[in-house]
Amino acid sequence: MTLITDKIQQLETPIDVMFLMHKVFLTQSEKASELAKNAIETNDLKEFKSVLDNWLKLLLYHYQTEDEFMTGPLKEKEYHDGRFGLRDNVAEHDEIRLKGDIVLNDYQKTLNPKNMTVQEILEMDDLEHLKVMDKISAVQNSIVDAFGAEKLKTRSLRGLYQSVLDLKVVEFDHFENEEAFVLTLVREQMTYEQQLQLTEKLLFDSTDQNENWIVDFLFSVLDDEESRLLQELISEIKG
Amino acid sequence: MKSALEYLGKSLTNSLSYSSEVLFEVGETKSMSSFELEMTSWAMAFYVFSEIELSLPILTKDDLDEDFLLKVSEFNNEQLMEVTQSVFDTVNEEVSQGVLIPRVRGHILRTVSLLNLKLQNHLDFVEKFRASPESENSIQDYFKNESEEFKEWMIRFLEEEDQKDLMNQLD
Repeated sequence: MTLITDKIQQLETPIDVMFLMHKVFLTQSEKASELAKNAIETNDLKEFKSVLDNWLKLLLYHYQTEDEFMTGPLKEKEYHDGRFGLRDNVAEHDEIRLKGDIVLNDYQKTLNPKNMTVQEILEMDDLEHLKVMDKISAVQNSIVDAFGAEKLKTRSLRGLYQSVLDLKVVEFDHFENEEAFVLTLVREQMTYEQQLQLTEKLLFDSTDQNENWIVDFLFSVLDDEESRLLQELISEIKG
Repeated sequence: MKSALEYLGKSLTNSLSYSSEVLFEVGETKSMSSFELEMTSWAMAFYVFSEIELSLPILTKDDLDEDFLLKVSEFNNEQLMEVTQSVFDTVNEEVSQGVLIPRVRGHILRTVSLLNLKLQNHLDFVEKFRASPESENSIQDYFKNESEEFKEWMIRFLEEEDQKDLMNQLD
């Protein structure tokens, strides 16, 4: 599995571009979680929001492209531990999309924490267990008043940090699974030329005004040697 | 004068942050046993915290009555215990022969972070609805029936500045 600290020294086949991409994505999630953590103390989410938007934009494009052009054309394989490489990969993409929505939702809560429900303020997930459902809505104003704006803001920021951490962990697990189970299938089932075509889809967004936004971002994060590897691959793609 | 809950609350959150740091060091300068020791110590301290908290009177506010607040408090404590248990479960199920792989490190860190988040939220609750003049005596009351060994352990768990403060109170 590619770690942020790993140095990628060669791309044996075009699909190995995934190692570079995963590394950049992990760098973004690390940055987002650090900024969310700091915001609990500083209350400042400006840089976080910008990093989050970039991170989610990258992830959403990447997964949509993979579902359509990578896992779509491949033939399913059941592994010895009962795992289905492609089915599970698509399910993990859905889970990450869901976690991304939760992060965005939690970010919205930090903008106006007074709108949080009593359940959210008290973090009681299993209200029926408490048998206080009938009381919950009645005490909304008292709870908000008791905690005050500052405490509510802090609670919402803590919640945001946790949801970012959840997304980061699920993303890491997914990359590890994908590198182990799906990239193997790509190498087995796709020709070199097909891999180049897939890589082009992953690196260039033909639906955007600036189709280079993904590679531009990758270059901004990768070191010189890794950028050189990416540049060589792009040259090959563009022929 | 600080109350027992204030001493413990602050040390509990700091201890979880330290446990996360230890986890990052596993495989370098620390072992998995160091992390497990930190968490075991934390669980014991939280048990003490919980016992003291649940023995204190509830402060009602507006239409937040005692029954409601008591249920919330008990539920928070149960949840904290459950998340603590899940940290140990993750370690037992996913760590093999003391070797911590990055994926499992992430799982454990996420759960420790969740524990810290829930604890800090609960500390806000305690501050609003449990803190009372009576609690100022609770540290002496609590230690009245405890052994010297336990007192020493408890003092060691606290931050250095609080250790001195607490020892002065107990003298």
